[in-house]
This record gives sequence, C-alpha cells and structure tokens, in this order.
Amino acid sequence: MKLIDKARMKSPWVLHYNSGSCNGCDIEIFSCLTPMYDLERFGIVNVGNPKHADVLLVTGPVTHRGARVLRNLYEQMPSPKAVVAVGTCACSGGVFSECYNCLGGVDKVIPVDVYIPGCAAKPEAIIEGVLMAVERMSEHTPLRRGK
Amino acid sequence: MGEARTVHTELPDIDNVQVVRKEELLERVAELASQGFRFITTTCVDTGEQFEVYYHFDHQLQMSHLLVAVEKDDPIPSITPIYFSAFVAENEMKDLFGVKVDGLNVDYQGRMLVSDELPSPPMRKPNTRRDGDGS
Amino acid sequence: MGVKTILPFGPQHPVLPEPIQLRITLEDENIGQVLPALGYVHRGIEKAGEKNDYPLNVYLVERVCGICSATHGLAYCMAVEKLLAVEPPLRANYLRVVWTELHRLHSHLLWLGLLADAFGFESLFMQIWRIREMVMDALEKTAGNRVIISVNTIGGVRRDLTEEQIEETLRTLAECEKQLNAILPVILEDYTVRKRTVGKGVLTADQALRLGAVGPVLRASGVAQDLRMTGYAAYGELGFEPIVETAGDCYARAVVRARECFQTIDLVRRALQNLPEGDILTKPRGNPNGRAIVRVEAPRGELLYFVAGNGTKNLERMRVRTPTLANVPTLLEMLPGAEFADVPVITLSIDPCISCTER
Repeated sequence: MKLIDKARMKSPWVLHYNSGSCNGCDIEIFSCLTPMYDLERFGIVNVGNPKHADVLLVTGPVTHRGARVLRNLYEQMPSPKAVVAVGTCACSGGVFSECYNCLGGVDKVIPVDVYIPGCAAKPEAIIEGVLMAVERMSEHTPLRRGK
Repeated sequence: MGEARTVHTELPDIDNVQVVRKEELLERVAELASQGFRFITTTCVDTGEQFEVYYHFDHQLQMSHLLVAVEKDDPIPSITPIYFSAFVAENEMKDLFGVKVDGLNVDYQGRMLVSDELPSPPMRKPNTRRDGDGS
Repeated sequence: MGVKTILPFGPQHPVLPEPIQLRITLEDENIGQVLPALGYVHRGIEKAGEKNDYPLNVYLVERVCGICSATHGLAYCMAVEKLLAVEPPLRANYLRVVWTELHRLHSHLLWLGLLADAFGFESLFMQIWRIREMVMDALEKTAGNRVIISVNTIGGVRRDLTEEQIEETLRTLAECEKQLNAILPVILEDYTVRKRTVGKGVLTADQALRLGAVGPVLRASGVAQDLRMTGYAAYGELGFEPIVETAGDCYARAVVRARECFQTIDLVRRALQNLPEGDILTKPRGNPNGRAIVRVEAPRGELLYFVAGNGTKNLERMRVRTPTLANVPTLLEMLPGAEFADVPVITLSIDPCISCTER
C-alpha cells in the first residue's frame, strides 16, 4: 500500500448529496458529525467540494433532476471512490418507489458500494457504513485504478 | 350562481366556499385582498370532466374559499397581479395538471417541479366527458 | 454601475443540506434579482396518495418531510377523521401534542444550530446539536425511532406511554431546559451573532401578510397567528398564547424560535402532567367520502391538508400545502438589495425545507 493510500484510509473525506430524500436521513448524517456520535474521531471530514471527496453519501430515491446532479458529482470525484446509499429510499426507492418522478434507488444511476437500510438510517448504522466503504475502497484500490 | 358542484351536500364538505365564474374571479380576489385576507394556496381537483380550482384565503385564522370550475382546455386568469406569492401555487397547478393560467408573472412553462423526462402533466386524468353531452 | 454577474447558488452547496438552486443576479456585491429553481426533490407524493389505500397514506405523508413528520401524520389523520366522523379519545389528543411538540423542539434546535453554522460559528452549532440529541433520545425512548416516529394513526395514536416513560421524559426536558438556558443567551446576546442578523432581511407585517408568510416568519413580523390558537388536538385544553416579535428581521426570527423552544418544553410538560386516563384509539369504520381541509401548525408554520374521498378506499385527491412553499416568495422580496454574504443567513431564516416544498 502506498503512503497516499494509507493516508486516505486514515482520513476519508465525505461528500453528502440529497437526491430526493425526505430529510430524515440527512439530519441523521448531520447528527453523525456532532459531538454525540462524532465521525471526526475516525478522521472523517464533511466537505462541500466533490473534487476533495473520497466517499459519497447519497440519500433519497433519486428524482429525475437529482439524477443529473448525482451523476455529475460522481464523475467529478477522483478515484478511488466509494458510494454509500443511506436509508431505505436510497437502497430501493422505499415508499417512493411507485412515484412518477423517482427512479428508485441510487444504484440505478451510479454504482453503490455499501447499502444502509433504515427509515431513517440510524447514526450508528451510518458510521458503520462509512467505515465499511473505506475498507472496501482500500480493497478495491488497485482495481479501480485500472492497474 | 356558477357551475354545479360534484359533491353531494349531505357529505362532509368545506365550509365557506363561494362558487364563482372565472370571469369574476379577479374581481372577487381583489375584494378579499382589500379586506386584508392572506392568500394560502390553490387546490386543483381533476373530476375527469373539468378542473375544480379552489382558492384558499385566511383572515384571523378563519378560512374563506373561492371555487372556479373550468373546462380542461380553458385558461383561467392568474391572480398574481393581486397576490404576487400565488405564482408558486399556479405554476404547480400548471405542472401537475396542465391547467392553463393566463398572465403569470413568473412562468416556469410547466417545468417548475416536473422534469423534462415526463412528457405529460402527471396528475391530469383522461377526459371522461363524451362528445355531445351538451354541457 | 457595477458588473452584472449571474450566480447559481446550489443545487449542491455546503450550506444547503437540501438541493435548491437560487439564480442570483449580482451587481458587484449586491443582489439584484433572485429566481428559485426547484424540482430536485419532487417525488410526486400527491399522486401516490391517490394510489394507496387511505390508511397507508399515513406512512407516506410522514415521509413528505423527515423533520416535521409527526405534524404531517397528525394533519392527515385529522383530515380523514373529519371525513369518517371519528373523534379520537382525549388521551390520544394529549399524546399527539406531546409528540408533535417534541418534534417541534428538535426542529427548532436543528434550525438554531444550522443558523450558527451559516455564519461560521461552528462550536455553537455543535453545542446546540448536543442538546438536541437529548430530545432525539426522548423520541426514541417513547416512540421507538429517532426521526420518523410514526405515532399517529387514523382515530388516535399507536403507542401509549407508561409512568416510567413519562417520568423519564420529564427529567430529560428539565435537563434540556437547563442547558438551553445556559446556551441561548450566547445566540441572542452575542455581538457577532447580532452583527450578522439584526436588520438583515427585514419583512414588515404588511409585507409578510401580502406575501402569504406563515409560522415564525409571520410571527417575527408582529402578526399573532399560530394555528395552535384554534385549539386542535389538546391545545384547546392546554391553553396557548402565540409568541410574537415585531422587528421582522433574521434576529427576530431566531428569537421567536428560541422562545418557542421553551414554550414547547412547557407544553409537553403540562400535557404529560395532565395526561388523562383512557383509550388511545377509536377504531375508524368505512371509507372516507366528501371533502375536508385541515390546518395545523408545523414547526415551520401553517400546514394545510385538503383531502377528498369518494366512498372507496382510495382518495380522490390529497393536497399538501407545506409552510416553506408559502415562505419561499418572501425570499424574493428579502434578498434583492442585500449583500451576497448575507444570502445563507437570510435564506436560512425562513427555515427552508425543500422536501416539504416540492413533495
């Protein structure tokens, strides 16, 4: 493992995008960053710029307009990268799977590494999921680089 | 006055509804505005034959409603010259039902909420009125 | 005359937890025109409400918005109860007040935290959210889930509270109140906070009424309108006085929400202490027929449900008018003329909830 990979695993930066969620999962992601759960103790930092991010946290069933933005964000993230679908809607569409403006799940648009079910996904589950994504990312690093 | 209601009177219904013709809508809305009513929103109900458009207003926590019934292809006048904030509700009706609204101040062309992937207004029901019904 | 720039603010922006785009025309540092671009979170819940059986809609409308989900469930249930002529038992009405008010408390604390974050006061954001976790714990202990608690059902509530749960909630609230008393003066008296909020985004009472503003935005402009005054659920028995400020700026809106936190704690406490004995559910019979409108006070303001039934188990129409939808037009009048650096604070001051707005 190269030094830069090691550094990345120690401190993965996350980007959060809401692609049509009801806010429930989004506020739980925010809760993860606050003193009670404190994702930062794992070196995880929330960033606003996709070009700085390693892990993409997506909530919501993906609306048509949201899909365009989501694809765009995913493409702007440098490899290696991991995608975490947070909440039942992001996994499968949930209660919104029948709605006309929803595609039903993040994996319809971009590849997903970790699925976190729950409505809303609990902070404990989100922390576990992000750490799993980081682990997966380290396993997949050579593959995604195309070596 | 105005069109017949589709709901039977013995059922639970909304209080304080005035049925108005679309020609007198702006006049009645202006009246309410001068009495200090706050505009809440509009509700469009697609009965299959026509659109029933409710305009909801509030004054000191008492609601008052206007009801306009229009043919599906008939335009209704926009109330945005009187209540600027109505543009959100009117654009939404346009998006979801394809109601034609004349004179909108901010017009999203039926694409405020609904994205280009959806060809037709998603909540519009097929026209159930047969030709030669006479109305 | 300065240089004109058109700046897209959003849809993905660190300040916004949700996607909305404001197309802002700038003249130097000052804002000329603002046009919101919506539709990133539009799912089509009103249509889905016609496809589902009417009891299932309770779970759907709770997901209109995760922050005020208890209020959405309550409003929908009240509308269907009106059509079915069902009267929920008194104990259920009190419990509804308890859970709706706990939701309001967590929503207001969330907002106060985000406000601190919007002008870069991160430690204050962390402190407020730490207090909010106590409310979340209280919700989880009483209802079984943190965010979407799903307690309302047609005819009453789905869960009862035991004596221990009541005592524990009262203890949590007392602790919460103590800590809020310690931290809220920081928000309301701090020099920096006042500098960033006083006189920003002023809305007069006339403007607010004309633009159709609701909730804390309306009350911060000096209009005493709060739907809890109409006494739905158990608010009539508990007694209610709205909180009003007159300045109409971002600071006044923060003060209204901060004071409402204490009012909410007081309401929950009184509801729990006076909780009447009895059933929690009246079984509904039949299918809804007719039309009904129900308005309740969500944390962000007036929430309207229009429900039309036709005697079958599917509804003919379900209309949801959420408070943010009514508050968005106020932005178009508050933002022009302001400085660009104030956009996050002013936008946040209406407590925008985009998933409510677009449904």
